[in-house]
Amino acid sequence: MKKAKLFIMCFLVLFLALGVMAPTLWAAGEFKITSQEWVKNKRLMDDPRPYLTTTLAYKKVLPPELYSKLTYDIEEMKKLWAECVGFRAPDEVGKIAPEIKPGTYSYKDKGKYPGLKELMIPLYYEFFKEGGPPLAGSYAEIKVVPTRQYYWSLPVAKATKEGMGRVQLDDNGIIKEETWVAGLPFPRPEGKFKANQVIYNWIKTPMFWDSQYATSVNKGFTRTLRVDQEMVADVMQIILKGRIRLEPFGWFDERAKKNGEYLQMNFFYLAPRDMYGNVLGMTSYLEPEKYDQMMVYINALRRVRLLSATDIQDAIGGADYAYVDNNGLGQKLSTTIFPYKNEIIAEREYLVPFSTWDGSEYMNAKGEVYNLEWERRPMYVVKMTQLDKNFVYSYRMVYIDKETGTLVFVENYDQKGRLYRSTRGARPFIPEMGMFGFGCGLANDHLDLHTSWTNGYVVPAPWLTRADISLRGLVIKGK
Amino acid sequence: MFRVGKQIVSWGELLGFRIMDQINPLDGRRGFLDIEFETTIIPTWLFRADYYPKIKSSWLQDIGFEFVYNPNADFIPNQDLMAGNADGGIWAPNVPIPGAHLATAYAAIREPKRWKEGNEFAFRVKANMLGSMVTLNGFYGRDNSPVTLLVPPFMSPVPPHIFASDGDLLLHPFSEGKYPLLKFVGATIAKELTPLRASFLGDVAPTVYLEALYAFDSTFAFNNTLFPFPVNRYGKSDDLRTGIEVTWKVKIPALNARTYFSFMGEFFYRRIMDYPSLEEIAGLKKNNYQTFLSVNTQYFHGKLTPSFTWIHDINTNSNYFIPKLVYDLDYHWHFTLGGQLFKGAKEGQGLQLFDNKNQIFFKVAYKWG
Repeated sequence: MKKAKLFIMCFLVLFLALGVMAPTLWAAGEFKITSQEWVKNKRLMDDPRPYLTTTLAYKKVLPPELYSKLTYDIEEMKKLWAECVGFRAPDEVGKIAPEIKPGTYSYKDKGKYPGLKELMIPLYYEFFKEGGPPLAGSYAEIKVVPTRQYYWSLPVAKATKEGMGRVQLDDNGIIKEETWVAGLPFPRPEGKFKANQVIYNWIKTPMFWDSQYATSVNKGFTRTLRVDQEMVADVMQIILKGRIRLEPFGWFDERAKKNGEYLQMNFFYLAPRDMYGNVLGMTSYLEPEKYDQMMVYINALRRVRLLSATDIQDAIGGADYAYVDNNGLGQKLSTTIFPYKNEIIAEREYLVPFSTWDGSEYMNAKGEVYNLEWERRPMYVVKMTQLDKNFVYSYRMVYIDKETGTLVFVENYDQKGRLYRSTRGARPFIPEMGMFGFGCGLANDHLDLHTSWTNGYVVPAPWLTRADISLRGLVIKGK
Repeated sequence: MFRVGKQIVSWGELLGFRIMDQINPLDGRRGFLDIEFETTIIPTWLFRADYYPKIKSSWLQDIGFEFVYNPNADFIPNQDLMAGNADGGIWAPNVPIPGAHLATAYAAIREPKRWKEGNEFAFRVKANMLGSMVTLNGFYGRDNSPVTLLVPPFMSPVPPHIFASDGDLLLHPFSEGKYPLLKFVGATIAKELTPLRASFLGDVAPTVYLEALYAFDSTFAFNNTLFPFPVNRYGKSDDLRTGIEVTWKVKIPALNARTYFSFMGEFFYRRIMDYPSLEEIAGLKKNNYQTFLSVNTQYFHGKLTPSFTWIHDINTNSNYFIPKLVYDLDYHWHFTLGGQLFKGAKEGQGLQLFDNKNQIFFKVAYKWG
């Protein structure tokens, strides 16, 4: 027994030494905006502060070296991206309802400007009204600005250009992974599977930093607009294939390459209080027929538990979206797992709150959203008809920006053909980086009459390692 | 990771039956549901060290080594339901004794001396491999529950309160006991069986959790029932405990068009490897079986959660039912209406000991933060 105790003491001393050293090593270069800092700078409700141009401007937030590394010449980015997609958005719009000029419009002007109805996505037009029950997220007043050219950063543009003509779909419209290296896979969608290509531009979106740390705050509203849910969560995420802005470039590591891993993340709850310390870990794979792997550290049980990766259709914790709605459209295209028939049903301009440049957007207690900048955007409308009759949705209407490939709006219809859920997003654009940030999002449940409103902030996090988001990360982060 | 302090180290996979979770003691004094689950597990002083080496293998995604040392700084055993209403309150088991009631127990249980005895060592390897979570576990320490022997005068009234209010005798059991060594090795596996997903059931595959431990030379109280008075002694036997849990979410549109039904079923098997031929172990047979079934779903955007849980002890043919309805008004206010119903076929055995405690309850909870 004495020998055993001696061994134990040596073992503990060794671990203690490692434990003392480790935080010092990990702290080097580690930075993030925590939820506390985020909320200090931008409250979720009634807060018009323009955080993007003031307190949380990326130039201020990021270490100078990193900021410098991730910023590029704006004109060069614009030029190269226009070469990739073959147009600049301002040249593509203005044909529908040309009488709608930049300026401020109130919902009371709807009669005066009938062109607005033609120019807006129908659901956005419905929400162009005074706020009030049953759903939050209306626009009592909109500010229309001239259409701007959006572009991705130089590394994304270069990778996209290199991939043009190389990235291919197979005979079923599924991407041949070996042909996609990085960047937007299909900057100029065309051919038999044009709709699939448009969807792949979102699935492989360069929207996320190769390694990133995000924080978000969410409120849920009942049909009387009473707040019934409040959630604060942080997310650490690493893209494992197609990395072009943060080292390591290409594959994150040999393991990702061997296992065909695309993304790994940890999602940890900070509020509500009884969820604090719960951490969800997810690994997603490139193979279309392979489910993600999900594990959760449950604070009440003090244990890591394997979750069903096929449990993707139930609403997440009282929110207005399911796992399949992650980032608006959280599904891979597959011929066996919930296969879709995709078709482009419109290719036209819409007036949408595409992006926010200063972060001054906010929602008030009446559920009205203000300070978004509405632009005419050239868009694809893709109808994704679900072929599995037991899936939660019978079809999705997906609105994707032509110039950037980003998802703007999704409508999801249940098996009876009723509009069930919709998701609207407006992301901040960081012009000197050619990159979008986290921004705000609205998710509506049109059957249960419930709304989720989210806003958050994201920073590139080159300091993230596998250890942060692995089984170890779950245990360390879990409380 | 290195952690020192009062803490909980959880090793199990099953949510119903507790097999591998032997490090922290439980507080069961307030019944089965009367307090939040989390507060039923008692944190103890532990040193815990975790080490996760970098892995490059394609089939092994994560591996971790966990070592736990309990110096026995403050010995806390399981806080079990206590005999007699004076100590056990409403949850004191209703042990049938003709013309008498079981009253407070007088037990001389020897506890291991702080620091010097009862040191515990636990080691676990955990791996995320081939889509499964796998652990190998080893434990050397003390059982959190005592093993007791009845000693003279065995069962006796103790003045001044000799009679209960109904005129029956109050009999106090007298015993002595100890917290014996517990040494086991074990393993757990968690795996989702994706090939079993069926579209007509909602396309969710079942997830299976397995736990098994094999304890060496465990100590039990062997009772010889051939005599009219208690004759008992300490005896030893190896002990196998194993369980399987299947969780499966299923869509039943006729009952709930939008949300799945979650089913969780468990089967627990315990075998006393060297069961005595002439004697008995109280509450245990050579082979012991129990089942657990729980089902729940949600309505009104997750606000209303009906659930039903059924625990069945096969050996004693006794049952415990928990119907429950939870309404979450928001993230602060939570209302629960439920019931606890016990029914047993064999008097004085298994869950029948509680069948005079059937109840309905209503709980209001406000959570800050």
